[in-house]
Amino acid sequence: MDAAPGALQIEVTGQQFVWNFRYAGPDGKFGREKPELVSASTGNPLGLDPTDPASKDDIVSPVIAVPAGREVELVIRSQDVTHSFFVRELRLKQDAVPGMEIHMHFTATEPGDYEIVCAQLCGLGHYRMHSILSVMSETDFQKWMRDQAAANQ
Amino acid sequence: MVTHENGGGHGQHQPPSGFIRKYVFSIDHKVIGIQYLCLALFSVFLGMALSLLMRLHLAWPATHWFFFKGGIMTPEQYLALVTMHGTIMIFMVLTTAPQSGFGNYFLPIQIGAADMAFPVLNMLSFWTTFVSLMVMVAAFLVAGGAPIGGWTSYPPLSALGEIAGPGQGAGETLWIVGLAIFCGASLMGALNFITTLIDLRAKGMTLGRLPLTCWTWLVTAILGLLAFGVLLAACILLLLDRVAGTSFFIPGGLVITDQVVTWHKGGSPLLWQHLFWFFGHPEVYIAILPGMGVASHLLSTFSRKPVFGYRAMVGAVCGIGFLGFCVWGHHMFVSGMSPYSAFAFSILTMTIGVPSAIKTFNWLGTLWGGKIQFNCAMLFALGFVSLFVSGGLSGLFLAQPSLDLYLHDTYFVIAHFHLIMGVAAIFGMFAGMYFWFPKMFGRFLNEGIGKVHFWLTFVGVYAIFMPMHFLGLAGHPRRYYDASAVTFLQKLQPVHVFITYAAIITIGAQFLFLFNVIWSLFAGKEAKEENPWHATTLEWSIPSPPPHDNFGGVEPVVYHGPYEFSVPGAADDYIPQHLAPNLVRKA
Repeated sequence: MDAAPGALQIEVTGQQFVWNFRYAGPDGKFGREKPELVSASTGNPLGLDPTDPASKDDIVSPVIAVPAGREVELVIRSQDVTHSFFVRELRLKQDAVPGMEIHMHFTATEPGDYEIVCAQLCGLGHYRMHSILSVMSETDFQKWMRDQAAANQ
Repeated sequence: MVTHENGGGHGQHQPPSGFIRKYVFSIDHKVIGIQYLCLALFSVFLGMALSLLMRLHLAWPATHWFFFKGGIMTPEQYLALVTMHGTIMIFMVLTTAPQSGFGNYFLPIQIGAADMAFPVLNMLSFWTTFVSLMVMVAAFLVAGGAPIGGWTSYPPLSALGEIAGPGQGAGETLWIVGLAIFCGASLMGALNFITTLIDLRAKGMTLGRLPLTCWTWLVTAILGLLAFGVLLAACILLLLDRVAGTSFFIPGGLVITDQVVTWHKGGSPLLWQHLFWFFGHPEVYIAILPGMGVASHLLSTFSRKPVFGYRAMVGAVCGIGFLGFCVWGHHMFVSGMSPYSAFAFSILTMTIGVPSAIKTFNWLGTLWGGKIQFNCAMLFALGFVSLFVSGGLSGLFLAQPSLDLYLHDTYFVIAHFHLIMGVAAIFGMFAGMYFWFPKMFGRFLNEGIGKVHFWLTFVGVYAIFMPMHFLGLAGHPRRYYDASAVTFLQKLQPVHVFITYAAIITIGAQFLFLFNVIWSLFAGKEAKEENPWHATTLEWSIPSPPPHDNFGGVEPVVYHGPYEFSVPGAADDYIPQHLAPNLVRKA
């Protein structure tokens, strides 16, 4: 079953040993990425291509925020080896497989912070590949997005 | 049916004279069987030592241990232990001992043959297995250490080489080569078993008179023949990805530690998972089916009753073997495989519950109203049934995609497969060991030590693995070096401590077994009669230990089914398979 047309799309990318989350920003489009531009150390962990206008307003964050009560569609990917996106309170688990984009959708109802762990052995730091999924009210979420966008400029 | 007039036909050969021919490069199936058992015994203690190190670290992650450099285990050491514990236990213990060990020794004797169909191939199988063990263990010694990818060795982690982590260089290559060699050895063994069983049965040993042990060895051999070929192919493809620049399992555009992988494109990581689990699921039955055979055999012998529903038992074994090839996708419910195929795999997986239930109810039916003898062999056979049920029921949870989504890759899975594939199979081996030891060595294992060993092990394995179900239900992922980075895992630490205490006691109890074997070999009670258990199958019609050609050059003739216990009208409560009808004493 596909996600509803108006669902909030968020891209989830696993890489040894962090999760990165990307929001399309106000234009609703994910910008182009190039593997050769990937550089975690210079703050471009996904390799966003600055020459693509669609990538200008993309928001990349090491934690994920979602609005309560709204459907969210995750696009799960991996940059290097197979990982697995696991949020136990939401019963979400999906392998992140390099070369594939796997869609998963859910609607969170309880605001709160939930831990994201990696459930598929991905190397030395598998045990510490950890992040937070924050479920917040729609107004808090909009504020969070604005703060992220401001920080991204 | 094909029979041979002169004591088993081409299985026969002259007894060897020199030490090397007799004990090292022997072509006698009995010696080879014992060699396999020794290899498995060495491996099981090695694998157990690795698990003990993991357990010590998991329970007390901050404690300094003198055997680690710097006092504390590193993540790469932990994951290397995870990989090697699994690999050694599954391949070198669970695949070798029940089938190649006991099967080698007793299949030819139980069907009335002088040896396996291809004795030299049999020797080659063992020594190839030995080489594969050495190659795998060598992975510990190379730069970077043993691989950290787990026994499932998923690419790209396993395919990219050192860049993916320590141990993924030379160690991983040795691991893959060792596994490929093992596949070759298993294929040779499987061919030999199948041919022997089809071709070398004594006169009168129809399929309907085969002991259930032989049925399970046959089905296991067929599974091995079909499954190890696929794993061999997968290993070669993975090796090519690593050393020849191919891209079977590696997609394009990968970036690892900020470095773009430009020399690979177009492969699929899921292809490995399909190939691996197409082997991996039948492998579970390769490990457990011989244990089922031994359990059926012993429950009947020590209840003094025929196996309840012999034909149904044979059908269930064949059914489990067949279904085993149709369910590999249940290991991949969260892998990104189509959710629609998950539905089919789920239904097929739960179907295995039917033959499994047939087996369980027939075991209970066999026991029902019997004169049960609680010796060590029987206790371990009963323990097998208990573990098979407890380990099997959790399989029904994991077979459902909606539940597996949560439980996949958690400790729940560890608990499930250790109970059913690990310790149930090992209980089958213990049962076989206590039962057949007097036949193999002419002396009994000590029953007193054996009973202490049984109870400590039986309670111990439940104390280890039952709490792991709860860790899994709490969401604890497997293969975690350290749980302290995750808040919800910190509260589970006391469970880890409990499990480690249980593991220390259970592992300690295995030294009782080791002592029992060594002590009984030299000083155990002598098994003076050929048939001390009053059992029915052919191995009990010949001296203990059996002579080189098993039946002294005379082919036995079989007149009875394998489980004629407490037959109405007979004086004795058992009728051996080889006893001519006119010699059966009337009551």
